[in-house]
Amino acid sequence: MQPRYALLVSLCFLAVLSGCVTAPLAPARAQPPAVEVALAAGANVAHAAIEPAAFADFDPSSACTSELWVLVNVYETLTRYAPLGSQDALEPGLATSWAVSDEGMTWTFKLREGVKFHDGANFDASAVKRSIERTKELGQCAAFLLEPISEIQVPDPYTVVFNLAYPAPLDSILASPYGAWIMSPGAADKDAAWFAAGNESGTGPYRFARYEPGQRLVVQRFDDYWRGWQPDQFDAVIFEMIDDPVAAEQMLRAGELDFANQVVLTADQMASLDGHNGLRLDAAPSLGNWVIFLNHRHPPTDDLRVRQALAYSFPYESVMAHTMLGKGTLAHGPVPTSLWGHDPEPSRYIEDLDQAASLLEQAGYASGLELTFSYDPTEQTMAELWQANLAKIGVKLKLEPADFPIRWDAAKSAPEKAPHAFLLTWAPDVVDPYSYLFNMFHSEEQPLWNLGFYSDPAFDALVDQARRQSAVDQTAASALYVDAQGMLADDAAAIYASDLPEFNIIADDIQGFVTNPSYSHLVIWYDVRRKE
Amino acid sequence: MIRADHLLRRAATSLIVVFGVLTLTFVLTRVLPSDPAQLIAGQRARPEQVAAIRSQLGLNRPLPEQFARYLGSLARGDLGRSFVTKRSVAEDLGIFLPATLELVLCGFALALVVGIPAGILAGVNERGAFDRVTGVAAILGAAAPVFALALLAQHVFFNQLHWLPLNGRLSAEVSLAHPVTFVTGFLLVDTALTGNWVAWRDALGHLILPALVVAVYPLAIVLRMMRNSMVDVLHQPHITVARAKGLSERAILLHHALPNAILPVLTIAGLMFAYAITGTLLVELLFRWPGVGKYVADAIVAKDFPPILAVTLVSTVIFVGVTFLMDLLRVTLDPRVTR
Repeated sequence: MQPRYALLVSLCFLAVLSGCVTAPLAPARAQPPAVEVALAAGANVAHAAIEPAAFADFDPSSACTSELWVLVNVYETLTRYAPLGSQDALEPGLATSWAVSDEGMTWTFKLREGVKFHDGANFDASAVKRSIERTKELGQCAAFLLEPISEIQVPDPYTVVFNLAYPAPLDSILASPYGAWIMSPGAADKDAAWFAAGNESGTGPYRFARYEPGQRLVVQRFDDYWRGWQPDQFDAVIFEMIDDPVAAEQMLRAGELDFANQVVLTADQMASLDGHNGLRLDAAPSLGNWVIFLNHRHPPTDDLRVRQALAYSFPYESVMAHTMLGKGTLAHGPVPTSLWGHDPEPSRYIEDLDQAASLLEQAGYASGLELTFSYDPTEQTMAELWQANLAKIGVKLKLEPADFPIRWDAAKSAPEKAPHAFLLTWAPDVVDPYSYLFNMFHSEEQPLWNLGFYSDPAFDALVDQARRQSAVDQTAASALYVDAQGMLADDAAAIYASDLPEFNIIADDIQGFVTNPSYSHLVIWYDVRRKE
Repeated sequence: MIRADHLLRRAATSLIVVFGVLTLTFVLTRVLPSDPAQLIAGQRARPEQVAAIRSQLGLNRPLPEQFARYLGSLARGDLGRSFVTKRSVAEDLGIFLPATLELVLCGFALALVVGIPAGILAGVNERGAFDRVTGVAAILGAAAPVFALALLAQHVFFNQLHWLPLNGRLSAEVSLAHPVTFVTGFLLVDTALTGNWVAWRDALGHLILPALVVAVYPLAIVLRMMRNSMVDVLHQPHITVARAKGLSERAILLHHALPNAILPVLTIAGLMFAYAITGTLLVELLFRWPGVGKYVADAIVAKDFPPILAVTLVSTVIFVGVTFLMDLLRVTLDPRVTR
């Protein structure tokens, strides 16, 4: 062979080889239709950033992570969590009204008439029954929230009755973005693969127009949406999938995005983008908080006095000042102050090193001791501030930063060897004090979220009673939840490092954006407009 | 002449390599302390839910049984479904693999087309000005971190000059208005085949920067290797003999020096190419290129076994295939191999 052909031959061969590899994989597909709405002259189009992991799962029965940023614009729930400061905690969604009877055991929802699904089907009680039953049967994500439901009845097309096995605040549960979405009967028959291909059928204001895996998802307005449309609302929203914070920052700086949240960008990047090129940083209270579990099964933190000493040693004020752009707020207990059922009094544990030292002395650790602290690498500042405080009273805090899934797996599989202190960033699955108190402190046979391995039957009983009470009387339930938090404080079960803010970067010309901590990190695009 | 037994032997070794890599990856993914069932169920799920999913996926079965089942479905051409996205892995690879191949092929074509002639030129003019300049440039190119190159390229060509788009494979506006019909998955090919020239131009614009960045490292290596190899060969007795015979410099270069000098360069280029299939992760991240590197990285983080195994399989096949090809090429160019 002539050498001059060598290069040519090898390139051809590579091309053929790559063709051989990809050809059998190539899905045969027709040309996707153009998305006219997004392209009409003068169309309002918004661009939002989204993490690709976001598109892990489009099945509304099992979607559990940031794909909810999209789905909340496509599907709706019977009730909705009202923004902070509203008179009622809940507002009507696909249900217009609801009532509870039998001491929280029977819930009757009256449904909205004239609502259409994206596939043209009518929204009615049978769709509600099918959707909730499907999610319950699939048993993924937060399906356990639906566990109290024992039977769903459809007395007429616009009434649905839920019979419960035990009292529960179903009105609040059915507002959860984790698994209470209503889908059309046609969609409810489909499997996860159908949804994964980029199909949907909800009642929400936007419907899927185009899904380009790894690149973007486009939603466009659903013309028959029951709340109707104003001309200045967005016609389409393009969710650009971005894994890399640097790429996201560049796109924001270039004006290619209208919205990005804390999951896509770091807090420091957000601070640097504030005020840049028509962008602003929006900071608001969230329902998230930092809880540092103290291990009840690993000496010496099984000793109450050691746990109390640790709670007194924590630098609450300086941690708040030096993390989360200084926007965190003082936690009163495990239930954040932005939610009902929180302790009205500030925590009895404040930074007091003398108190901490004397408690350690009483416990017999005057000569010092060594403890371990597990946290995410992003929270290094907090860890070092605490470590410095503890060093002053003779405690050596061994820092064990690791990615959450790894340290979580390790901790829950071996409680006796798990770190003495374990940081968890909690965000509730259902907006209710029960989510915090049950998940993080209720006795667990097999540890999941109770990573201090706290166990007190009296506490369990009180929290369960509070939950039953909340089905009929929130004020009474609230008092019980406060009592339960008192028990946790007596036991120094955990350290509440801070109630967390939520950050978003949003274009200045987007108006009407109100952070609703119940729907964090996302925009309900129907509610916002672009300023002319 | 290539002998049949040589071919057969190579094919058999290749199969063993593919099987070995597959087995190793399978065992590694299974023995690592991770629980895909928990990841699938979501962090909110209670232990009972997780156990149900584990048995549904057969993850509670003995390892050999799981492997046998996997090989069985593989034999039927079924790469399985992602645990996390529930999408067909074959379908996803059909989207992500051509994206990476388009990027890497363009990058390597550039590297070879520029690197080989430049290397020859530098080798012929040993210690000349061109040799010294390209020498320094090659060291810089091989040493520069790929993320720095990517950011630099974006800064210059997007932020400053506004010549090329920042990232992505096709702009949203073009993709919506001029949808691309899927034929091969190579955007430049598909748009040309269907005469969608608006999308073709847009796709080309998006390809230039990441392809340049992908090209830099192999270009530097190819250039240096070609140069050194050329210098070596030019100092050998048979070249002196050719010169003594009075052959023209052109004939000496093309017929006596180049065939010997280019062999090691092509071998290395082939290996670098195969490596780049999954090795361009950083370029894919920074340029938001929906490629197979990003795809498998996401899968690894999520302990999503089917995509991890499928990508391992495909990249091993490519690697083995490229090595095999390079061997054939060597045999064709260098008769000593089979003699």
